[in-house]
Amino acid sequence: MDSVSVGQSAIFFLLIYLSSTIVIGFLAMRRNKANAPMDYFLGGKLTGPVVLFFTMQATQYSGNTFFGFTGMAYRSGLIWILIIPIVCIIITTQLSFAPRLYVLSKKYHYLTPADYYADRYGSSALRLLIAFISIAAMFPYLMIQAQATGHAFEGITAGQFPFWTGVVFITTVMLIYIIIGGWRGVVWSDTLQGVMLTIAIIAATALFVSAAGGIGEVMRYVNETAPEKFSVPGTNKTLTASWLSLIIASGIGFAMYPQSVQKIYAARSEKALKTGFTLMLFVPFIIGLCTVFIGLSAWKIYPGLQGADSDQIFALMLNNIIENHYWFVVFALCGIMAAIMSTSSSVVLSLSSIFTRDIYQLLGVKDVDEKTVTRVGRIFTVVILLLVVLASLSTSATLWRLTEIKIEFLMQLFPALILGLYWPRLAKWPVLVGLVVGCTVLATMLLMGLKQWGYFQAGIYAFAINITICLVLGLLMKPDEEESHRIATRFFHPFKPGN
Amino acid sequence: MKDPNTKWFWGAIALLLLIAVPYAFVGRSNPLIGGFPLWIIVSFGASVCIAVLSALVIQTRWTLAKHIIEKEEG
Repeated sequence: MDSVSVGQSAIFFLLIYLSSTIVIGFLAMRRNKANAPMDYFLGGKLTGPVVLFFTMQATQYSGNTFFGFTGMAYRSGLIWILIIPIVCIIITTQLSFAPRLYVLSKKYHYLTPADYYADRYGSSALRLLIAFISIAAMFPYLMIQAQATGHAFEGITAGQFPFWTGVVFITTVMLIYIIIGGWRGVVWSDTLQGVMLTIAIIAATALFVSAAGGIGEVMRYVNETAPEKFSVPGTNKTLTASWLSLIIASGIGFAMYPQSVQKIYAARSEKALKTGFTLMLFVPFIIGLCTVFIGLSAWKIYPGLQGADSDQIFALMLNNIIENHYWFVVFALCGIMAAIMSTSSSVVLSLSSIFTRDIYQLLGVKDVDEKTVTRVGRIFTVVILLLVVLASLSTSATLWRLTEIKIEFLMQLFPALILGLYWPRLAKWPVLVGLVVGCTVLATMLLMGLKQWGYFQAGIYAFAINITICLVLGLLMKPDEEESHRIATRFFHPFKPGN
Repeated sequence: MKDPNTKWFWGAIALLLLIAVPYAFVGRSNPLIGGFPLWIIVSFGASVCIAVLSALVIQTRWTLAKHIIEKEEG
């Protein structure tokens, strides 16, 4: 980001954008009639199809889309097209559990992902475990997003304001619109941010490709100068290890993001959810193709960049067109900021709800009125953002390591979710044992340096062990009669034809 | 009442995923079609099929809440 220098007018444009998110927060506040947790955290479960789609999109695509994705396309070439099935399969995986989970969430008023697990398996320990894994997986991710806002802010202001002021300033803006607007403030801002992100990446692709001489010229140049970017790299083993394994891990892990699961809960109707899912299936084609073409165009203009430098190609390409397209560059930089903020705000609200529902309310504070719970939720929002700011200024290697493995830990939540929806026999002990063993195996493999072993990454082995334990112990340990009756009546009877 | 989770759907998705990862073209960039290698067209086509199949299933084979929640809410 340091390489894009846009000056004072960019700061003015950025302030307009940031002010608009706060205005949205105020508008949302006026719509929040009941000061209840369900309203603050999930907008009363009344989110319509258009807003649902944009909030799903804005949450899924962060600043990494502009930098990480384009950098990967630059380094790896056309094989980066496989980002499309990787992202598509996230929605397809959610299709495995969303239809039933949506019904149950409406029927039993679920707020957090752990609400379902605790209800289905009748276990508070499981609730805490799920909450802990979700927080441990998502907090470092939030930290990375905060750091990205600091760097983006530094870039937009051409270094007039240092990194830490960007982190504090942008986090404060987010805090305002989350606190006052709650879910509606977040998802309405997501809609604005989703539109900005989409326009920015499509327009950037058109301008970058044009600056590089058009698609035909780019393809010809890359084929001549770097033919390896045109061919399928490696062997069947490396293709499995680097792509099939990634598709499986991402498909399951990203589908288990707590904020994504809560978007299923928040849908106004099944029709709204179906529309959101359907539209989301086609977004990867836009983002995937755009990032591939940006990466290849950058190769023509700035060939031979290595490592971290290649992750800066989006900024370099913006710099390349700034003379003729100044206002677009300013808009694109705000689009990047919007992408980062939209992802962060959804995660913050989700983590606040987890702290409030799964920890605060569980640990002895049950008999409080809804207004108090919502107030506690807002306090947690402030605390989380404060911790994020402090952590994002830290250079702890452990925290950074966690950001790389969040998906593989979130994968471990999937067996209990899907089996719980389709297998009445499964009770809490097989699930608890499977989850603990799965996470332990994963942590052990990672500590031993076995991030990848043979054809697959560590998370997939841990996942296989986890699900096998659930199945085997599930066959051996049947829930008692009373529990079996509760599970059947509450979770399976509604789905029987004729009911 | 329709639940989109069927064996044929997940079988088809698994098959399409295996096609999307270009195993049959390792180390190759030829032939080119319209300036693009054939493998990218196959891989992209498989991804399109995953999206279209999933969309069709969502739209035609998913009607649960209509029969449960909406019935309860009258």
